[in-house]
Amino acid sequence: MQDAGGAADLERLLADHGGQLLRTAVLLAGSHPDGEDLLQAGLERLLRRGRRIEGSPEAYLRRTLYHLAADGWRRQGTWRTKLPVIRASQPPAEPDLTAAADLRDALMRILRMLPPQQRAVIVLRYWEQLTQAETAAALGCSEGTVKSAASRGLKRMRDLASPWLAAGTEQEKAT
Amino acid sequence: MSEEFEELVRGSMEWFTGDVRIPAGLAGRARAHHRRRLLAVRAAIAAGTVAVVSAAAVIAVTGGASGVPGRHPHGGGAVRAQAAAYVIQRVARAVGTRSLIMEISTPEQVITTERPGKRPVRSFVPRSVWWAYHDRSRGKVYAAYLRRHGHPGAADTDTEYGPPGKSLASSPSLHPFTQTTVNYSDRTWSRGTQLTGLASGSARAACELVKGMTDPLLAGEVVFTSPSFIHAALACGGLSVTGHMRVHGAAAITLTGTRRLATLPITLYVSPATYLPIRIMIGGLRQDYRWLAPTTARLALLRVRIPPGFRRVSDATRPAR
Repeated sequence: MQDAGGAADLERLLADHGGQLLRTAVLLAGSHPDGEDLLQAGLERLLRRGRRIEGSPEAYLRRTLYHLAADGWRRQGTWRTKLPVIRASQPPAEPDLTAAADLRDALMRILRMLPPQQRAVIVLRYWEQLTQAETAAALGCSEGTVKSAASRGLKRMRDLASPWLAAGTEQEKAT
Repeated sequence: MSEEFEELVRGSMEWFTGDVRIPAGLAGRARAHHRRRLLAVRAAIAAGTVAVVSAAAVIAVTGGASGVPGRHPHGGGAVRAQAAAYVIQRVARAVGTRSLIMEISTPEQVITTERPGKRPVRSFVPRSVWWAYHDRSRGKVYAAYLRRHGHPGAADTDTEYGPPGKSLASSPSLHPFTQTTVNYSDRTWSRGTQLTGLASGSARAACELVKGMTDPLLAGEVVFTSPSFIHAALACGGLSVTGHMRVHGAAAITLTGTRRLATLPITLYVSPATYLPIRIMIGGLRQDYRWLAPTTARLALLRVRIPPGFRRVSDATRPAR
């Protein structure tokens, strides 16, 4: 599909890959509405490029999502302003049966707070299951950068999620 | 532990996106928005603002899609180059018409100058305002900021540069001009004649002059206070269009100094409406520009008024005339 600008082509692209692309966009943007906006912006870029796209439009769209998201986060700098909030919050003192859901929710909120590059690397490595080399190629950076961003990102997530992780462990012991 | 945590992160992502479904009409919305954008671009072309839109759009595409301006892997280079050339041409024409008074305001600021092999130097920059029009310029320096920061002897001054009152020998590269300075701190004034190569304003002279400069204060005070030198710097390919951003809440095109022009980082911000410069950053030094119609009252700004009772002293470097 060299011309991604046709209506039928676009619909086919979304039918084949839309679900996965939107899930990726939601993870990158941090919420469902923002993810839809991000995917729509990516589709507009695809339309703009039209016939000039070399290779798969889906791959182009995927790359565009990563770059657009990283660009938007850099401008807004939201992760910097939100980080203190997540640091200040604590899990409930009394462990309950929703601890696992709380932990997942906390991890996703922490993921949203990470710097753009670390976040993109983590989404590509652990959601898209790409190798280091594939991630580096998708983001246009070196494998070393991918490795260090993934390591730092995971460490940061683990540090920030430690109260929830501890709560989960205590609950396991209690049961 | 690490693999467990990675698995936990992956599982959380699955959980978070489990109920995500493509909404109906997403492709239609993208197409509609794309069409509206095309219409806006065509309307802009019809209105004669093609270059700004093209430059902004091209930069937005390359910058947004690739994350790094100018690194987009496929095409767009020719269009970008054309748009950039058009912007440069319009800016050169705007500053070259010499029909407006250029006002340069420098706010109080601290700048750090890097020196190869040596410790960086911090400089306190006082507030100043300069006006330039044709072969005349005048500037007021308010030195209170310097006096508060280790320069108790810094003086408030008012200086006018203009053509000499009578014919003096000049060469193709050196031109005479009169300098009149009023010193408000010790209530004195002086007048002298100096020779300078700046007045020629040739592209080559501008490039050669700025290229060797490593002091942003000197570059800011000497070169970019003159429309003719901005014009010359553009003509010699010393500035290239690199993007757009907002200055004082208004859109601005950014032009960045190339290696051909300077070792110092230079960014010139240009209004997309008039193509006139509105700000410059030279090695951390910020100066803001305004462009004023040459009314009688404003032309009077170009003349120093010597207050009554001030004592004339001889110029420190040149014989007084």
